[in-house]
Amino acid sequence: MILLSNEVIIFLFVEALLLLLQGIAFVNAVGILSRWDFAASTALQYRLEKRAYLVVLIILFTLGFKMLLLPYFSYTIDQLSSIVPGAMCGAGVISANEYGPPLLSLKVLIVFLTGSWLILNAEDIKASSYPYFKAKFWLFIIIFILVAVESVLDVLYLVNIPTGDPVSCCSTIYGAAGSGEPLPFGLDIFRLLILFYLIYALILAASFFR
Amino acid sequence: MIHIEHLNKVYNENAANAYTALHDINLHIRPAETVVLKGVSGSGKSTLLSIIATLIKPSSGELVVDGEQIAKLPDTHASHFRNAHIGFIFQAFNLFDELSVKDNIALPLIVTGMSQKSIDEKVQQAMKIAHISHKQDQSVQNLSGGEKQRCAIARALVHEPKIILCDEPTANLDRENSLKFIETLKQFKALGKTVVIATHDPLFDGLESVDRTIVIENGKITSS
Ligand SMILES: Nc1ncnc2c1ncn2[C@@H]1O[C@H](COP(=O)(O)OP(=O)(O)O)[C@@H](O)[C@H]1O
Ligand SMILES: [Mg+2]
Repeated sequence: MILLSNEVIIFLFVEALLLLLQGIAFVNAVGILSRWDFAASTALQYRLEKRAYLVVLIILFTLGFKMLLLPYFSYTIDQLSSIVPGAMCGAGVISANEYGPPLLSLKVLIVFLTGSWLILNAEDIKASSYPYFKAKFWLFIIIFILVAVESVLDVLYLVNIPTGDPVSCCSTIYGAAGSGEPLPFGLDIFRLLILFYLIYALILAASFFR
Repeated sequence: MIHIEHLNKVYNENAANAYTALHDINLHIRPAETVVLKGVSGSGKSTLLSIIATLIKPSSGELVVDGEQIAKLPDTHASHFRNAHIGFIFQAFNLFDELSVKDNIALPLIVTGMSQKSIDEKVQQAMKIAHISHKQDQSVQNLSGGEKQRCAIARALVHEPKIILCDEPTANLDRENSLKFIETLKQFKALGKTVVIATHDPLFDGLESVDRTIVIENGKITSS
């Protein structure tokens, strides 16, 4: 069973912890957003401002950690290639079942949204009147929902990696054998272009806000 | 200048030992006004000054200084506001005993990253106003109570704040030094500072340099 690999256990454990923390932040974020009124000087609003500060810290911590978890995921997948018959690197393992490719796309999307959230937060903190407060909390809510889906996919994917049947090996995937797709991780040109423009937009946004 | 509306402060909110230190405070202090906040120990004077200084946040209500909602500033912005606009003179002076008078006074400027030359100029200027220039190279631990306070006054003035807050400024002084402090109030006035003095010292009663006396009892303003 693939779940017994050390890397997989560590990965799922850390991810579960982060999901729990983000779940706490999510519940609070919904509560804060629904009652937030920055113009008010009520006791409720002062409490929300105090609570929002803590919630933002939790979000910052968990999103930062999640960024680190992505390379670890790649590493884990790469380690699995020694167990999965036929696979010689992570690229083969990721396409070992139907959950792998959408999972990878989702992970990349989450990284982009996380980056956007970090930019938004940095801008919000720079100003004194929380101009992006609602935007950043909404964005976090979207990120959390995606992260929840991602976690389910992670488990489905890892549980369903076959250890009996051979998967395609890297040389077929990269087209060395002449028939496979020429791009890594099963990306086609269209998806690669989308990726490219997403990165481009993110860089533009980053320099615009600086 | 300073507008306070429906301000409340509850310590340990949502806990069994919750304590309401300020009840529905409404207060308007004009620019360049010198106000005495009079009340017995425990009446909430320090709490109110700390809120105006953005050292603590109220539980509800508004604090507007020069049109800006101060009480709602996020912490980093609150400390910017404090560094720019507030001079605070504490009862216990809060000086660094090992440092010289000059260095103590320069501290609020050093954090702003100002050039050494302008720091020196401003420190000299502040020491002159507070009459402590002659002790500038002494370390604070060798000063008398009155000298310590003049050092604290210079430190509160050195970054040229609009607002000067004094918490029981004469509580640790003898009568002679207390009278000297009252003399400096005139200088604050000449410099156009808005001054709030929290005290229960009867020396401040009926002073010419005080524009208004506000009485606070059990966290409520009873006369203003
Ligand atoms: N940090 C705190 N936690 C709980 N109670 C406090 C705190 N600071 C002050 N208090 C209470 O609030 C009341 C007002 O205190 P304070 O503002 O220091 O009064 P004053 O300066 O007029 O003596 C007092 O009863 C005091 O015990
Ligand atoms: Mg006090």
